[in-house]
Amino acid sequence: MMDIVNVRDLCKIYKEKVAHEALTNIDLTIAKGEFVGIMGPSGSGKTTLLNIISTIDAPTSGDVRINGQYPHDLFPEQLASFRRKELGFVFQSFNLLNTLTVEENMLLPLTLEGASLKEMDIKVKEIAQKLGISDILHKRTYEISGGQAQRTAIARALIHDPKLVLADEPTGNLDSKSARDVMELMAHLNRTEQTTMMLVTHDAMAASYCNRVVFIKDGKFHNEIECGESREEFYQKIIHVLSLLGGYRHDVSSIRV
Amino acid sequence: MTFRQFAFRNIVRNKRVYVAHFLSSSFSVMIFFIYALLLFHPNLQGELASTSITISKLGMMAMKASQYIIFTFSFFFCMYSVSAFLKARKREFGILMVQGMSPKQLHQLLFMENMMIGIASIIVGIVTGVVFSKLILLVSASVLFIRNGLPFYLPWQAVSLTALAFIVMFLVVSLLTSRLVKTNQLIELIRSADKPKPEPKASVWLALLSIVLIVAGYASVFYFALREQSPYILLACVILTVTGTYFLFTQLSVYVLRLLRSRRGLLLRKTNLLVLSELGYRMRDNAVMFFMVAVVTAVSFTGIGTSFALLNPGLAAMENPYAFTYSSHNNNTFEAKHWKMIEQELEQAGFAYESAKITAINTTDGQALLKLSDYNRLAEMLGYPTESLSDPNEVILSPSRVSQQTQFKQKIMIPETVTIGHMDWKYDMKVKKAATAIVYTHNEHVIVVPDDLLERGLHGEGVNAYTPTYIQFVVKDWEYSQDVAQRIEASLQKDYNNREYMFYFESLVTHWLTSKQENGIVLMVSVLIGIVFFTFAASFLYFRLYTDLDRDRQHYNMIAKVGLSRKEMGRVVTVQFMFMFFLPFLIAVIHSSVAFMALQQLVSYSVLQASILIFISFAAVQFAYFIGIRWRYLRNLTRAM
Ligand SMILES: Nc1ncnc2c1ncn2[C@@H]1O[C@H](COP(=O)(O)OP(=O)(O)OP(=O)(O)O)[C@@H](O)[C@H]1O
Ligand SMILES: [Mg+2]
Repeated sequence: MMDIVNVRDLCKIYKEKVAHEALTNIDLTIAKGEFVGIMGPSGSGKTTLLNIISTIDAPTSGDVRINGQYPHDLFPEQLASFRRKELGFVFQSFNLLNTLTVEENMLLPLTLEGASLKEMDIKVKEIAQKLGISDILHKRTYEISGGQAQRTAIARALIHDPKLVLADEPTGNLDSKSARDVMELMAHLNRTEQTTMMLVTHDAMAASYCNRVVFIKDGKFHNEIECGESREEFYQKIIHVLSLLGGYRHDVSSIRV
Repeated sequence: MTFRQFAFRNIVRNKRVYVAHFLSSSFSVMIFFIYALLLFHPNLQGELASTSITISKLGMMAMKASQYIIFTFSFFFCMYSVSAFLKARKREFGILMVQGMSPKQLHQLLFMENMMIGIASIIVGIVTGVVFSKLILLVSASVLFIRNGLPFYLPWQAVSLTALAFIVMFLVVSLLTSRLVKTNQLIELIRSADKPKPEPKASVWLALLSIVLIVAGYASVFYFALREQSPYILLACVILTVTGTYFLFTQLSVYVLRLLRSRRGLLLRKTNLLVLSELGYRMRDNAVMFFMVAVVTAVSFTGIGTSFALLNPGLAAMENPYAFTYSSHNNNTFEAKHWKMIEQELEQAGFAYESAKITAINTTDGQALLKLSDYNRLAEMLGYPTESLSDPNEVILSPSRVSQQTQFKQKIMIPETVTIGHMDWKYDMKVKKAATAIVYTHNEHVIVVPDDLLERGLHGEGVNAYTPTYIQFVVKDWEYSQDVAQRIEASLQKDYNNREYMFYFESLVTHWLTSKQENGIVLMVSVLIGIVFFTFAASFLYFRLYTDLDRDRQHYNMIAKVGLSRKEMGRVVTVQFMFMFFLPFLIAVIHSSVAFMALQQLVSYSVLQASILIFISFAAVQFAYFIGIRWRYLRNLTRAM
């Protein structure tokens, strides 16, 4: 099987007043079609790792290879084209443009790519139906709920068939019902479309939808666990590791599967 | 959705944010167009030229200079407002780039946006200009005293100049500003929204310095007015005041607010906490903007006020009572011929007139001696009482200026005797009275002497004095004598000889129109520019509010949940807005009041009325603007709740 993500010896040092090493010697490989969760206490470097893989931030040292390319070595124009074709993003705060309708937000990657209007129409219909947002296509972003907004963001991340979808706490701003819907949706898309996904989350319930969860602590790799037969069992294992990591008392006490 | 549609929707659905920028741009396009309309008006040049060539040149120069000023400031205004927008939209650009927008596409987007707004405001500006051009021409004709009016014309030259100039301007602004977004640091763009603004550092010394600088600036403008009218002092005054105002807003205001916040009794009373902390936040962000608004407003007040003041003396000085004055020097051989010619011209044109020839003697002491008989002849012509002298050593003083006339009427400081002096010849004369009619204006000190004094004295003793002769004309309805005056001037031109300066012809109507037109031009130019500046200042405030609206909405939403009533929120917003709208305004009023007070030292009449008029009218506009914006802003805030 081919690797989609290949991170080697990655380091990130923030040079503010005091230099702070946010990531130390991280190695990570994600195979095609995998759904990988990243977990760790607050401030452990999850967002930093995701931002570097997603080319939003630059590494201090180390290599990031995505689908055979080294995006951090690309020129700005090539990098933009790379993001457009290979990557899809889902953020905690949705990051939809409020000047556009739901449909137009979804179309943004295709618009930037210069796709034909016909192709756009087909894609929108198809993906909106899959995500259950066909009814709200013409609404503006301030007229829809948080769950609908996140589904729109997922639709936007998937509409151009990216090789890798990156999500930073996509359920962080949602209630538990919407969070579950969104996770089920992502897991479903991962299974049916074979889309490779990388998910950063605090939420053990959300992480339990992954194939594999990688734990980091203080910017270093801690350990990883794989999902076996049962999701419930996986969930319990995640909770266990988290309790060992510390900083997760709240989540442990409120068990819900 | 194509890329172009996307760019278009992005603007159209964000119109609230762009409206101030768009309207102010349209407005400056319109004003620029008005100047171009006048500059290219075929009749205007002819009409102004008919009064005098200099006026026409002055007019053209003033229109051109105004265009340059408007254009330059529009450029800076656009640069400022566009870059303010870009700063507020960093996060949006971050999202777009994450979605795969390339730097090229981003620049293209910004370029398209700017050009769309630019072209729309050019069109709106010119169309409004054309629609109102009939009215504008009517008003200009009356302000500039153009008798035949300015007919409507299709101003294609003005249209193309305006369109071209502003297309170039918007193009340059688009190109320059689209480079402002740093596209290589995506993380910076995305994170910019959550980044809190650093606490401003206000030092006591800089805060005090602001007061010192402003006081020094005020002192130097008075030094300029009272002592030495050197442009360097005026420049120093401007620099001191502007720097002082900068520190006033960036240092003193922050310092004062911090001081207020440290008084817990004051801070924790009712909504004060909110008002003060919000003001602190606004000050931090807006100090520079307040500074610009204050300076720009002060400049427009002072400019308009000064030109209103200039308007006054031009007319008041028109105290020469003669419609025409023909003066001869150096044994003018044409005198008789010209006199006859002028009379003929007047008769032909059907004017009732009277004329008289008089001879004055200018002494080396700087007095003009007028024979009693000449004086009486002139007084009779003008319909003033005649005078008599019984004693050969008596004289009568006659005023030549309005200020002197007032002095004589009030009988202040009238000497008992005067000494008439010419070379080493001296005569002490008793002053019989000071007459109150202005009869002779060619010299400041006019003394009416007995007829025989001249024969008796000066001539008899062989003194060679300079004795110009004047032929004075009193014409009924002289206001309409412009055509006759032009014909006479043309006729005289034929005999004019550069080397031998023998005669000089002056017509009141030309003077009158010249001065009225000069003042009209100055007034028009300064009022229009002042209004444009004021509009710019107003839209700076608008931008600030609307770029902050999202943040404010979240902020008040949160506070409302904690239990701030709508009424209280209205009060918090009102107090804040009062500061934002009227603090820079107040500073501008103080600055320009000082400028007017200094101006007052330079002129004899009062500038108080004009300055109060300006302040009141602008304050009224500002107040209406304040009410309107406050209402819209509150509605916008509460709608989301
Ligand atoms: N721009 C920055 N400058 C300096 N330090 C930073 C910056 N961004 C993050 N850090 C630091 O790097 C470390 C990792 O931050 P990161 O945001 O990756 O944590 P995280 O795991 O996503 O935490 P959370 O779960 O709270 O989102 C933290 O200690 C943080 O303080
Ligand atoms: Mg994070």
